[in-house]
Amino acid sequence: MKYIILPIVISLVVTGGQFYFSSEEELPISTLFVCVVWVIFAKLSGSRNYLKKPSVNNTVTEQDVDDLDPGYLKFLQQFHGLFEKEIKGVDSDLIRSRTLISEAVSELQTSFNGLSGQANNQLEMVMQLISKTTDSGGSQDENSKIKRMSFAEFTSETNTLLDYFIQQIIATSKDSMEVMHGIDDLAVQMNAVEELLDDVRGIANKTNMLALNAAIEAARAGEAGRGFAVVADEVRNLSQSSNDFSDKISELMSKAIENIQVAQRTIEHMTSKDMMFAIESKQRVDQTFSEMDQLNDFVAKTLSDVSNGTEEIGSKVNTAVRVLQFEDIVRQLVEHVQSRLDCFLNVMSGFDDAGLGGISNKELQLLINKIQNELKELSDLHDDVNTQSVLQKNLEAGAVELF
Amino acid sequence: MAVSSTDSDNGNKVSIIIKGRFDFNDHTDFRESYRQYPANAAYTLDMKDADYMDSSALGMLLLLREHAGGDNASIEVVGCKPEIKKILAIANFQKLFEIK
Repeated sequence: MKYIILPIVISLVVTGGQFYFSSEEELPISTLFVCVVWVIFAKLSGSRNYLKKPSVNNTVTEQDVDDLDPGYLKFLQQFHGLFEKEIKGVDSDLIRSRTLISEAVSELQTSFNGLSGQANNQLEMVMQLISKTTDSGGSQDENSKIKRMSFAEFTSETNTLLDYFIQQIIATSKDSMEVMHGIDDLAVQMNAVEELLDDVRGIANKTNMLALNAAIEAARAGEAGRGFAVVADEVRNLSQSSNDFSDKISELMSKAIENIQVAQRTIEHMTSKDMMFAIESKQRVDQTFSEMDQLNDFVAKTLSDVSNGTEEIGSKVNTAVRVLQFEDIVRQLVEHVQSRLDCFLNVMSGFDDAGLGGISNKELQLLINKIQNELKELSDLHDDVNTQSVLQKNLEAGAVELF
Repeated sequence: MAVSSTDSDNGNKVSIIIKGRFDFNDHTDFRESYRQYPANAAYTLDMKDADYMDSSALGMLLLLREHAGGDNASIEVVGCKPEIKKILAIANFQKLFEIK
């Protein structure tokens, strides 16, 4: 403004002075002075025109570039250098981030796969353990070739054995009792024999008495009865012998009865078994069997839980591995950001080409075209990634500010 | 007397009553209690006063069963106490006798 106000003031002073002094001779000189003042100030004011703010749509004239202030040029060069350095720094940071993420994701994937594999191994081991301890069908030991018995089989076998044992005891008892009945009958029969022996003794005694009477009668008959007396004597001897036999038989019979009593005691000992042992054993076996069943159920349930858990781990690992594919997206985004930075660098190099001053109109037009091409490419890149609208806006804002 | 028997229906229904311990010492009495009755009679063993039985008693029951016709025998065992029932059960006698 001062370039307009000052000439006006000077003109007014000169014109005012002219009227004041009212000298006809001085008029051409004062008019010439006013004209010179206006020309000088017009020149001064013209050299300040570059200060008006340029815009993208404005056509930059050679005059503008020619009139760049050296301080402003220096500032632009510094700004450009700083900006280029920053962009390169950001680019290298991006590359580093990408590498770090890629390495971390790769290790995570390995870890997760290892975790899944380990869980499967664990499940397999548990399965093997279970099948070895509770295999109801029994299994063949490859080394010894001996059929091994499972616990369930063992329990069942024990029960069968116990039942067999009990049946054997009862069968023995039954047979023994049958023998006892036979012995009872034998005892009765032996008593009958004893009674018969008493009869035999009675007959022998009567015979003895008869022989005695016969001997008396023979002695009374005198000589005629001598032969009869001999016979009577013989009969007496026979009855005596009969009694002796009866005594011997009776003696043997009482020995036999003693033996029978021994046999009875043996049989009693053999046949009288307390059945409580069997009941208790069977109860213990049944209880063990029931506990084994419960244990098997528990093991089966636990195994199922473990299996479900492993499946869960597998599923979770799969999800994790799938989520880890974000690395690919991040990589693409980083590449995209790098492309944008490249565009910036190209624009900046355009300024380098121009040397930031002293270029012709034509060269300036080429530079503007180049920058516009880069801007278009940048805009195309924006369209590629619609999701990055915030970033896009920032970029656009930066673009307006820069150019 | 630990073992006694009564009959009805002309000796076709026989009731044998056992009291206290039923073991080897009863073998003669037990045999005598059924011996006189025919094989096709219906036998009932009253065990409500019996406290105990050993293996010889089980053997005696089997002999009674044989006397009564083996598989065709009709023998009821009634009034068993829990201990007696356990013994009969472990001997699998529920298959041979009608235990009530």
